[in-house]
Amino acid sequence: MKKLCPAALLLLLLLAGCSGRWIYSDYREIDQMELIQALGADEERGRITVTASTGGLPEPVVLRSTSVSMSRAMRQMQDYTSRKYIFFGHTAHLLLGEAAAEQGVEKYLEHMERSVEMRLNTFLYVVRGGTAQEAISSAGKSGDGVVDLLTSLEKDVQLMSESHVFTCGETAEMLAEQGCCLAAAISLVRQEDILAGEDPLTLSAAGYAILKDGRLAGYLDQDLARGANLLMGLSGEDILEVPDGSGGWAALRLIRSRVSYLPEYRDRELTGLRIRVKLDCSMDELSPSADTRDPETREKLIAGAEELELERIRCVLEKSRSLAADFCGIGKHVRAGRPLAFDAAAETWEKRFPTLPLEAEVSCRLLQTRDKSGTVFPGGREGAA
Amino acid sequence: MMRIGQGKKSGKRGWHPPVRPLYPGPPEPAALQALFRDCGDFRAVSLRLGGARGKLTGTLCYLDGLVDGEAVGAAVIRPLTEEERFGAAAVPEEAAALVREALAWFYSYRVRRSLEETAADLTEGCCALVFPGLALTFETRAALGRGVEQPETEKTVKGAKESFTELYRQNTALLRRRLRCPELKIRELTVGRRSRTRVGILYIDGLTSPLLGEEIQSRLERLDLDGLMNTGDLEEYLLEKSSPFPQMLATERPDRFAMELLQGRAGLLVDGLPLGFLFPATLAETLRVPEDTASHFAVASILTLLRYLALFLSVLLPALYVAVTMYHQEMVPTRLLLSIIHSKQDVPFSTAGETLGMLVAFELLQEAGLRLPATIGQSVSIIGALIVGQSAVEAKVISPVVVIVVAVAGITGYTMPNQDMAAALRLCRFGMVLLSVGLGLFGMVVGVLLLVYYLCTLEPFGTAYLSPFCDGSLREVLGAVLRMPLPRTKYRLPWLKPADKRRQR
Repeated sequence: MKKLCPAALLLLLLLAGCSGRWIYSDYREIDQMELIQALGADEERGRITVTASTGGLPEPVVLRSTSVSMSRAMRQMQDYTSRKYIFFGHTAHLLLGEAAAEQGVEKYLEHMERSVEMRLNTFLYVVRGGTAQEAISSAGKSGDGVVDLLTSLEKDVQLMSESHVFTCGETAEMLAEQGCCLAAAISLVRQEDILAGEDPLTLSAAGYAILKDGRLAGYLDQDLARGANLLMGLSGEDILEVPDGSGGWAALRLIRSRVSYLPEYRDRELTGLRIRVKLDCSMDELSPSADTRDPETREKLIAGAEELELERIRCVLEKSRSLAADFCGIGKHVRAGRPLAFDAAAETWEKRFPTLPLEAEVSCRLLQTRDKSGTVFPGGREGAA
Repeated sequence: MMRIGQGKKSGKRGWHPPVRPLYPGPPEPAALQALFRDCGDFRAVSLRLGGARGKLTGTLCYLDGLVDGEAVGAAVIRPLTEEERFGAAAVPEEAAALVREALAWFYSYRVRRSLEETAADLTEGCCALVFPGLALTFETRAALGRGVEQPETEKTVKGAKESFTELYRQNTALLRRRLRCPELKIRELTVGRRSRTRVGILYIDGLTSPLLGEEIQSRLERLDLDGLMNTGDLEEYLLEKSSPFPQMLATERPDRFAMELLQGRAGLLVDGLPLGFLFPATLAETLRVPEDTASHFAVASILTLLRYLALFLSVLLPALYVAVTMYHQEMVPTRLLLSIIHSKQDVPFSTAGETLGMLVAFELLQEAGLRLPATIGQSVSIIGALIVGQSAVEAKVISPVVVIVVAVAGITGYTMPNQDMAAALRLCRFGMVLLSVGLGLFGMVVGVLLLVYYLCTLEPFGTAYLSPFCDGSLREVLGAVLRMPLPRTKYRLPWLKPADKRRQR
């Protein structure tokens, strides 16, 4: 131990940078820190405006700075608040203004990758029809702040199958693999039926932003976003409103969905693709005049659900092919089935996808009707459209 | 290499050579009286064997208080003076022969031919009939000390409720009652020039590694010190390397002592100490309690795992808190960090200062509670923990999170079954916090590596202290951290190198 202690101390000194100044110096007191949890970026005439917000109590602190680079803009914020250290290590949400997304998201993703403070699991949003500055400054001004709004929004949209919030790391990975991807879109909306004194502006899910070649290429509305979720296998619980055949409407709860891609190869060439989607639903609401014990009513409900989802899928595929952007990652799924055959094809997927014959089918099972009489359809009933 | 008791030179005070024998010469009444001169409790009475018509006169010596007066009167003086047959003895050798034939009175006696042995018997509570050149010593020890009571520190629900006492012979009897086999050997030695403390090495012949008992005996024989009074003496003199980590198990429960002897350990009983000591100890064993075998194996396994968790928390939690709050804030979940920041607002001290301060305050409170009588000690704890702690938090002197962290580290330390281990962990806790204050997680990891290295260097009686984690198979490691069902535990602990490896069919 007598020999070990000096050796250990020497090792400590060497590993700590050969200098005593590293010991008990490179630390920060936590009460002297300002934790940034939401970061926004806007771009105008080559200059980036970064808006940062802390979360929670007593009142969120919002800081803003402009520079030609994001790093510099963030560093400048420190000068504004000399009392506290601005810490970006807990940034959970990154908002990109529409203009910034149109200019290109890659530089922001690059920054997230390279920065020692930022994390790749930060959620990425595109502010539809607005700027990140507006979204952060205006939303939830008198409430819990933009951070709480975004945190609850991120949970809610996935629960309601409205969209899926991807992280910066996931987005960067998809862009690198597919050249295009989807990012959660949010918009600043005016609340209706608000309580007196409550802030009228809030953030709301606005479907998906389509990113192609690192730039904003368009949007998918919320209804189509549900279709994209089905194709990506990310669908959560959804409510399908379908006519019940008696002049009223029924609400079916989508419990789960499965998607499978069945490619057709001829002479080592991809000649077609069948997309099969299976839905499991339960009955949530039904007009009093309808009777689920009636096989005809059930047929109509199932057919209605299948038709609804099929239409969503058809629109998403149309949009995807019209932009020549496989933002749902269909190619990745197709390749996973037969990678050698997929790679051996003469034409690349990017070229083949817009003209590839596609056939989609949706089958639905009504697992539970929750009838008072206790009628249950244990096996469900399958239909096809 | 200089060894204890071999004439080690100790600075200006000169040599301390061993003196053998301490009191030379044969037993003589005058020499014995000279030896015990100025000893107020020494008594010497002249006695004529066989009454007035006897031919031989001896001196009956004893130390008042150590002997049972009634036993001396009824079992020694009366037969020797009133039985006519003793009057026939003309020389001491004849008296010894007559005593040997009269076992009805003298069930335990010894013939001593040296002054040193006679003096030793007197100090052990015997009375001695001294003739020129010969002494007869009789067992007339007074029953000093308390009876067998319940264990104080090793409480048990399902186990035996007996504990060792200060009386050596009572302790050996408690063990004999549990291990009724002649293979239980008790090698007795006397240690200490002045204290002349009786020490017994216990082992089970044919089961315990024979080298273990011999090694303990040789180390005890090498001891040449004034007195053997407490546990620390034993630990520091007997073990190769003094360490805050316990390298011998101390137990006050005879049932545990017997259980460990059956595992293949060797034990030590010391007169005057209400504890039994077991060799060697390993880290895994210090986290075991005898109650484990009394509980269901699943329950005992969970509790053992909890003790391991407590060990890590006790050593590392304050250091981890300091490291992540000072250097690695990004590691803390955001909400937790926010509440830590919120609680730290307006506290004037730095994280390092308040953590170290709280650790010191905790130790002070503990010391104050231990040194005071139980009733006052409780009050100190309540005042310290509740009133002062609460007030300090409310006055924003310290942050509540630091109080929680230090309290959790302290409480987890209390779950250690071995108090020496708990004390060692307290020491490590301070070291780890200091390293974390200086270098963050890097310092803490270096501290952990140094600690593991240090523990690897400990080898009490040739057994690796980290056995079976450093040299055992996966099965043995699992056996250490879990409690396997007893019918499946066929073998004794291999790192104890037992002579008989199998414990059951």
